[in-house]
Amino acid sequence: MALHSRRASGGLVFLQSTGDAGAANATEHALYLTCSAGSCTLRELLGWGLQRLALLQELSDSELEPAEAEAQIERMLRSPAYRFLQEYPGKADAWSHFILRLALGSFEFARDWWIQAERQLLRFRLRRRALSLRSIDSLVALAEQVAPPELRAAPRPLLEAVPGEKAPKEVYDTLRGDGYPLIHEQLKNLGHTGTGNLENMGLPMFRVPFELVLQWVRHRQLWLQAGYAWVPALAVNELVLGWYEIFLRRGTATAEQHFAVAPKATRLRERLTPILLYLREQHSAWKRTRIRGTGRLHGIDRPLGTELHLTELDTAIPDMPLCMRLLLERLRQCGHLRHGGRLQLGLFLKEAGFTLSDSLQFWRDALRVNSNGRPIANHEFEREYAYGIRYNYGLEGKRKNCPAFSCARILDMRPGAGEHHGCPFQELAQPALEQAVRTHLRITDPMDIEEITRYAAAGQPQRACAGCLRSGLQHRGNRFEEEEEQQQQQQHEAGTAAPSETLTRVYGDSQRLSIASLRLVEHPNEYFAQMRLARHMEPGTPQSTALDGVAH
Amino acid sequence: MRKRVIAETAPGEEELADQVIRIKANDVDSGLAALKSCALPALSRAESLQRYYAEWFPATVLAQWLAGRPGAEGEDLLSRREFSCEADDGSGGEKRIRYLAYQDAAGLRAEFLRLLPLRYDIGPVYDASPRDRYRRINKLEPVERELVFDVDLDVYESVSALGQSEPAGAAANFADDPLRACADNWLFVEAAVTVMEQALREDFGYEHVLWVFSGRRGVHAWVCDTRARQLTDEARAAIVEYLQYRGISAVSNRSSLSSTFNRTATTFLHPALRRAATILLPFMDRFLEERPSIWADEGAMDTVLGMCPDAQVRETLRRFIQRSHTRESAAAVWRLALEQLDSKRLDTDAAMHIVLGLLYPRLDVNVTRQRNHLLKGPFSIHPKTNAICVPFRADQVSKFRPERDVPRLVPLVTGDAKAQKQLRAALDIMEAFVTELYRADT
Repeated sequence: MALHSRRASGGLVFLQSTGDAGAANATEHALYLTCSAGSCTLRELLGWGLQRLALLQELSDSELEPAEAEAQIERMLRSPAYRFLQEYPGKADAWSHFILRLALGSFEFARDWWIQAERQLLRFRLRRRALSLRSIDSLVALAEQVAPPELRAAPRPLLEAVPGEKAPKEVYDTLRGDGYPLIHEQLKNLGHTGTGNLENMGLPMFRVPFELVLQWVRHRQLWLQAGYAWVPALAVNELVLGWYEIFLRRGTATAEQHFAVAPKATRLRERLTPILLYLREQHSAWKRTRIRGTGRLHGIDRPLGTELHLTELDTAIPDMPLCMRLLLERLRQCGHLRHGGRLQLGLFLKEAGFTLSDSLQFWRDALRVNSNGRPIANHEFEREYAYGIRYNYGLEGKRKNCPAFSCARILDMRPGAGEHHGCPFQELAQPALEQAVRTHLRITDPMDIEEITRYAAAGQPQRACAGCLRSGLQHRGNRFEEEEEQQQQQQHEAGTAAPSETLTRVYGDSQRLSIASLRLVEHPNEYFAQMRLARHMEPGTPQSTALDGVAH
Repeated sequence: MRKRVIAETAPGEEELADQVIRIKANDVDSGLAALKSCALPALSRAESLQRYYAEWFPATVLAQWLAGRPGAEGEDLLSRREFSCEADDGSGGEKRIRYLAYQDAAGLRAEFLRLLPLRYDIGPVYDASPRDRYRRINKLEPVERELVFDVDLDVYESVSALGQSEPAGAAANFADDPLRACADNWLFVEAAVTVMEQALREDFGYEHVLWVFSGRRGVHAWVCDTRARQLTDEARAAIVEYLQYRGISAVSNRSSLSSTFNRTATTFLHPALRRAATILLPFMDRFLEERPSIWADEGAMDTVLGMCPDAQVRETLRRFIQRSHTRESAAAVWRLALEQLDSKRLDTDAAMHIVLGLLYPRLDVNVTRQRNHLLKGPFSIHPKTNAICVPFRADQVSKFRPERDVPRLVPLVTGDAKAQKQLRAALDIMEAFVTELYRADT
């Protein structure tokens, strides 16, 4: 019986603390909760950082099936340059992590990407059992890092292992219903197909404060009892990955602080800053090539000559993401936007290509009344608003070039009463959002709308936005394909070669690929550039500029 | 005297302008009309408010409640708590003043006596006193806040209208007395309070839930446990999502999401939903009893049965109800139909989705989601109905009747014995709640 239950639970033995301090310590290092002291040369440090960065890029870049991607990573890890990552947990591996934490974690444009990539690496390692979580102590150490302070002081432990037989019936009811996705894959791996026998499989369970498993509480995938959630130990990998992500997010902030106040901080900064900057630049360069390679555009680069100017604004409005559409709409209606809205929209337009004179002209026309509802006189515009616009272009005050807000930044700016900035997928209630998506983005497919509102309701606004983008691109893509087909047919009849062939060769597949792999919208300008690119591909618009940009 | 916040608004600093929101007079005309019609000629509105804040408003208990556990470390939370008032701006309009804060009950009462708020709201505890916000470099960050829920009968309109023969009558009632219109639908509030109480206590382990009548058409819940007060916005969003029932489309959607395995989520109701459905069954009987001819109404029946995700169950119910609704009462037909399902070994859980769709609590998620959302405080006045937002006991919700148990401002301050008794009862509830909350051994 004991043997059987061990097999069924996939060899997960969590029932008691092993008391093996060494094992727990190793796991702490493996999860980068602590860093061991030591010394190495700066050159080594940079080398490790670069190698790890390359690996993470490979990991997040691959558009391969998960299994193929894993094989690829496996191959990479075998090559001598990456050997240090194989010693895991090990000193060099840890240091490569921490140098990237400093370099990319504190870099607004890379932070989200880096955290996701590190999460993927950990997932890979968990799947390959490079890190095996056998002892409850190591899990508790991670839980302590992510738990809110008042829970750490609670009388009950943060993580309690309970044998499956002691779990109440409701736990299994939940696992058969909404909780099934949590254990589905693992059950399959263990060779179980049905859920009829869950009770007798001896699945160990964890009991954790519900605050630590919000992603599952939200969707009612767990059973809650007096503030504690019952989590099947089969889902331990997902549990750890979720906590790890939270931990890294906090870790990036603390790393920066520690760096600033470290002993001999100035000396440290002097020596490390070149390395950090180099790593950041490496990341940015990679991102640029990747964007070109897959036909993805980023506003910051604008490689395809798709700069937007005031004269083309009206034609470009359908390509804009919902947040900007709503701000423009609001601006047209009321003739005014509050500070947050002006910043969000103004910087977006600037990033999209507006010159200073475009911006000044645009706002002069658009702002008809001031915050008190009185018409704006010319001198008032100069005094109150023109300064801010010039400031955004780095011509006033601190004279720094202000980048457009990323989605992360926009999500952070919650609008107050009377304000309209922020992310509509986060701020609008479901009916209003649906209405906005229908009227502004002209998305009519109920499946699409369903998906969009569902992600919005699930607190994943960037995914909801990606849904809109996908829908918009598909709409254009389809039309493009249809027309292309028609054209080809005509040309076939006329006996000439298809001129659009070149276009397909350059864009076609990569474009489709990037649509399929698009999971999050990270920047409104990226959304805009994607839509603009799709427009350039539409027949009937001048294609030469777009082609020149790629074929350079 | 403390400097008023609006006085600090310097011209040109328009980010600050949101503290004072002037509402045009005609927006609140209806409210003012109601107010005036209630006011006895002897007392102006200001005088009524003056008396209320001087004699009845329980500043001491409220301050005690919001100050946190007496003697606890981390000094006093009251001075970092945001209050917000809506008051007469002296020219027939109203102004909202945000970021007020008080050291103690005396300060609170003194300022309320000066401002004479038409209503007041409670915000979060910030990391510093909201009054000091311009002296700081960083923006104020909310650090603590009760977990609050808002059940508003307005969102029940689609179901409460089902099978009601004369909606016009209800509208007439409403103009007459908004609280009576609320009473017609109190069933939904009772159901919501009962279900929420169970979920908050059993699932989340919270013990201190204060229920407050919102003054017009709904109730608010204030969960005051320490663990609840310290929840992040993200956790609040997850909790309110957990407590939401989104009906059939969401359910079918979830199962299509997980297309890797072909199963319907409807087959296994989450235990929390199953418990809710069990609680709601008696309410379902009452719902149907109040609507004797609901099954005769094709449209209503379509809506009701449309909430059932299983086509076979739906059709069985439809056939059975069409056959028997002329012979039995609406509630009896429903009970028999459930038995019928059972005897045919059909999925009764699918029928439970109907009960959930009709009666499961409908929450305003935005109130709960963010810590810095303002919510009308207990013993505030509702500016439109003139009712006092009194707390009530959850276990007495079925006996609580807004039109009977809620005191109104004017009778209260003009010496109406009934209104005074009502308010005293509410004060007792509030005091008992605070005492229990800060009892030494918990």
